[in-house]
Amino acid sequence: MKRGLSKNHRGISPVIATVLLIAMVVAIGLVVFLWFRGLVQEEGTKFGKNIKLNCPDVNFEASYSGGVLSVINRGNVPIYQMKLKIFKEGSHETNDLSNWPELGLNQGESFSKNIASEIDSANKIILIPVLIGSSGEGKKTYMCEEQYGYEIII
Amino acid sequence: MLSQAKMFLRKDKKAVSIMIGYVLLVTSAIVMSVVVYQWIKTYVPTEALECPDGVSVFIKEYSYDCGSDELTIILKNNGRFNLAGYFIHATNESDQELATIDLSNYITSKENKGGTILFSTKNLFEPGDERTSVFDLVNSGLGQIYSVEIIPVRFQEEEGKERFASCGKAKVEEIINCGGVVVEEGGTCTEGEVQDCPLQEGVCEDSQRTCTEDEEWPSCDYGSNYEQTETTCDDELDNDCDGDTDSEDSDCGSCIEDETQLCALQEGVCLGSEQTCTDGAWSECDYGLNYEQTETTCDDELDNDCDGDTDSEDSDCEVECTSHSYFKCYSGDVYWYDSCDVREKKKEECGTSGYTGSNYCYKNDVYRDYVTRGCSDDECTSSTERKKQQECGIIGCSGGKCGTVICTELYNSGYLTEEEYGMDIKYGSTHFSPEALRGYHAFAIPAVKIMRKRPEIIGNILPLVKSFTEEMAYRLGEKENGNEIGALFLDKGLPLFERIGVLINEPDWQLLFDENYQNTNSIFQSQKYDNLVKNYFTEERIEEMFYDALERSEGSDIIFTHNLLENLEKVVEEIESWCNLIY
Repeated sequence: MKRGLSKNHRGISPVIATVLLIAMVVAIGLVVFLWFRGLVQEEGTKFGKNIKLNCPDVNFEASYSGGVLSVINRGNVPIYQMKLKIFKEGSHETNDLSNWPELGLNQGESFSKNIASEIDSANKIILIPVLIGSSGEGKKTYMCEEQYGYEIII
Repeated sequence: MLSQAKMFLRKDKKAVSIMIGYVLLVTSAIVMSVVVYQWIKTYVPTEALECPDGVSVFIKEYSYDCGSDELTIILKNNGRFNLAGYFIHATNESDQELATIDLSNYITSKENKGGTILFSTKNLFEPGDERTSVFDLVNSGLGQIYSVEIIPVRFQEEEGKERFASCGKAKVEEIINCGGVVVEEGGTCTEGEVQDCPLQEGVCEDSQRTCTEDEEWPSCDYGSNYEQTETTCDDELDNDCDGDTDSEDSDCGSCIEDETQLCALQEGVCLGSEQTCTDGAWSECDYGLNYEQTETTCDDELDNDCDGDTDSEDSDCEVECTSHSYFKCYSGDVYWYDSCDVREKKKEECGTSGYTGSNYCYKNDVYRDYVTRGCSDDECTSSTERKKQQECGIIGCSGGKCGTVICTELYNSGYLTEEEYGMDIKYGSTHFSPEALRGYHAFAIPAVKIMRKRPEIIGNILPLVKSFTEEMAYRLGEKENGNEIGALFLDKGLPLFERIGVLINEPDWQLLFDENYQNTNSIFQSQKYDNLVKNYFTEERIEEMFYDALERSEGSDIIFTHNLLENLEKVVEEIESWCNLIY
């Protein structure tokens, strides 16, 4: 019985145990990292940070007068597209703002369009910016939350 | 004491291993930290790109001549930071809330860089500096301008990259009065009041205007030599009052030798590019190797076409990709690719290379087939080659193993022990001549075929074979006593096999007994008589030899051995006489 428990018959050496432990930690760490990275890439990045974190930095002004909607980008985040949330009596709908510049509205650029027919009997519109970033799968757009939109009471 | 010291040293050795462990642990922890940091960094909010608070400009003066539809603005940097230029927008209706009309397209100088009035690609508009911009609105179709709005811009360093920043907080607005002149600290005047005109260079020098009875500043009269844009380029006058005379003025289309100016494109890889005046004309802009007229390199993190959009942000990189457009080899398998060359699903798995089947004998050695699988010319390929597993040398191969034929058969069937079989291999490889082995194989192969058909005869053969292995062990010095039957076989049998062996040409004895085997040499052209030997050592003939020897053995193994060798000798003599006859 004692022979079976003698020091000569103990398990693997500490070095091998340590190496195995490190290898397992690295492998598991990599798997977890790649999984999380995949999630991040789904959302995409812009200017080196998650694209949704750029929404608070978007700075634009808009006005609606005589059926003409005017938008000017005063900030430093290009606005790739613009969603138009139209509020009518008891309902609302969200559409793309048509004829938006193909390359987006860059810094200092402005946009004007007659949208009278589009908003019809609306009493309020909210302009919600859509940004574009890059992800592992290529180009990725992201629609900012409504709180970053621009509200115009008509 | 010495033993204590040894123990101490041993413990030290163990400590070294732990140190290595720690080093590995710390290294891997650092590497993982860096990787995780890079990822998590994208989730950390950073401050938005904004100009410093001290950025400020104001419209020092403007003059707007409704008649000639010309707007002149003198902008002063009254802030604490250098600037690069500005955005300018205007309204053309009094009730227009937002200034959305871009006036940069109408500036008479070449400072318009894609919607921005850019004096330079560096922040050279220093605090205290003034810049005059003249906008020609004649053919703009805008009508009367009611107000302008100016936002300064500058280049800022952000995380090691130079970025173009719009200073929205420093926006200035100015109501524009048609025919009016606004000077610093207001724009009203008193009748008869005199002031210098906005333009004071060239032919405009010392020009003045007098406040009208309506208490408005009239348009300046700069004289007959004044030109809104310098078109007279040989009168040695600065006609448009911009400080440049004749060919010095870019309006004249010529330039001063070796003068440089910024190229039209000033974003992305074109940033800072300049053109030089050579022989009175501006050289073509060289935007460098990374420049592309249309962005086609969409993965280099560069704005190659200098439109302000990098890679995937650029619409040029947007292409409709057709799935499953074609397929080709990748990493040993066939994969589908879309029309944008992006790899999709695996179309066909070509498998991995490796051995297939079991060992077999070929050319007296042990071989096994190796299948090489891969992908070539867009399809899976495979090729099989035999690879030698074991070289049997003189002893030859049997049943996929090195060893003599009958003993291998008996060993594979479990009749011979490992030790007995090993003795056969050892003796065979050291004491059998190549000829003796070839002759033995000629006899043994049909013999094994008979054994397989009639397993009952194994009972008669097995004592003999065991006797041979016993004698072999004795002759190899592995046993103290020999065996009489074994000795008889080795002494008399081996010479007989040698006599047959010299007649056989084919070194691969297995081929010799292949049903489709034909010696390529005619027996009349060769001194070797493979086919003849094969025809004598038929299964029927050997069976006949065996049963004849058995019948005459009277139950004695030694007599049976003797009879068998006698019958074998007769066949050998017959073969030899036939060979002599033919020869």
